[in-house]
Amino acid sequence: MRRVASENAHAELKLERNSGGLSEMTFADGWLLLKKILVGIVITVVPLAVIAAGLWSIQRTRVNHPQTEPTSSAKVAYAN
Amino acid sequence: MQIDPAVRKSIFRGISLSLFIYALPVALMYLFFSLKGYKPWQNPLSAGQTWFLHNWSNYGISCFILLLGVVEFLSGLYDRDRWDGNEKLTDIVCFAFPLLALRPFVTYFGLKFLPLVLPGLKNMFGWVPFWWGFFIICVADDLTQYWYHRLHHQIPWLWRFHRTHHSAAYMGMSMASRQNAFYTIFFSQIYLTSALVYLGLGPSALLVQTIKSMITTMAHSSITWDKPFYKYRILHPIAWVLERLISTPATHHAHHAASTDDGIGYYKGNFGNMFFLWDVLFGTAHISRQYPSAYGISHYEKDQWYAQVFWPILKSKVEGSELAADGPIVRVDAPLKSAPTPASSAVPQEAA
Repeated sequence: MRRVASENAHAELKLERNSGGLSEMTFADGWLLLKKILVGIVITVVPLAVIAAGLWSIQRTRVNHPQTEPTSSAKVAYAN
Repeated sequence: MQIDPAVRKSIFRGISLSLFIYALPVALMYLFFSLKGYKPWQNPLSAGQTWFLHNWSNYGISCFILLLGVVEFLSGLYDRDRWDGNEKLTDIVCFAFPLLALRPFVTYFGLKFLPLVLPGLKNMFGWVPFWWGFFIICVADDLTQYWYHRLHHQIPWLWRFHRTHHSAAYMGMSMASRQNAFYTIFFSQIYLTSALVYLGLGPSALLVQTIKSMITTMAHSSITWDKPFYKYRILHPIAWVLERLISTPATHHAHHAASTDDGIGYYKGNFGNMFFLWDVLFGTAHISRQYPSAYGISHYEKDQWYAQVFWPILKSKVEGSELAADGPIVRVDAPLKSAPTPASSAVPQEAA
């Protein structure tokens, strides 16, 4: 309920609005985007932390050698 | 609009289980090293192998997708009645956007941002053997995309960022990239994999990306490559494994169905991208060997391409649309116009 009320209050504070339907970004939309980015950050950082912690543990207990040279400088490019 | 309590419970249970699944490849690698006394730093990938992966990933996949598009178009597999000017423009802008905007953004993230926030950690895990790195990234990348995708369906306020992907009333290779710009640019798995590349798993990531692009593009394609596996009895055991392991046209087309009434369509599940296994594990799978009769969103009324791509910056002029300025967060499904009764509406395209 509180969230909905807050969004309605934000919705009233429209940055810009015209009759053509363009540039109707509101504070509520900005808040929505921010929440979306935060969700994205959480589901990126949590698995990264789990995997990096696991690899670091192996490195500490099994590898025991100076850091290796880079095997590749290749970059990843995504298609979609 | 609140999340259904049962769905919320299922999400929390699934995410808890996922933490163990993320750690599984690393734990197995540790076990393997312990049992075999393996010294991974002694077998780095050769420069030739890296060169091949890099070029295949960059040029091979682009050629493959282009060729698939040409075959679909020439074979008349695009529904030309439904693929009108607005839909064409939506598909083309969405196809070009990742190439023009996402790649530079991700490149900046990998080359500038990561060294800033993780200084001195570049290639820290460069000792991870290629195939173990492949296994780690397969799980990390695709499981993260499963959750990213599933949350956009099950959390009501996230749905509108993913709606564009489901609005088309047809299937085709261009569907794989038909997304809202903010959905694309904040793809979690891209940043996760980029971080793993920065930490030293680059060559493995190239192979994962290649295979994943092929599977996801073919799952969206109107070329139903999986039909022979359902048609010939001798291939049924392979079909049984394939449809549980990876996304096939049958299971992914069901996810894009306009309705669930026919027992074939299932847009409330089948969220897997490369692996369908996640749906099987988390109880969101609906395995079908038939194809839906109608695709898209039942209440879709041709929102303008710019609203579909750049919402919430640009809004739809279609009154009552989820993408309109005063539109609902989630609109209730409408009965399909062409499918008033189960007998006439949802006549599935038989697989055989």
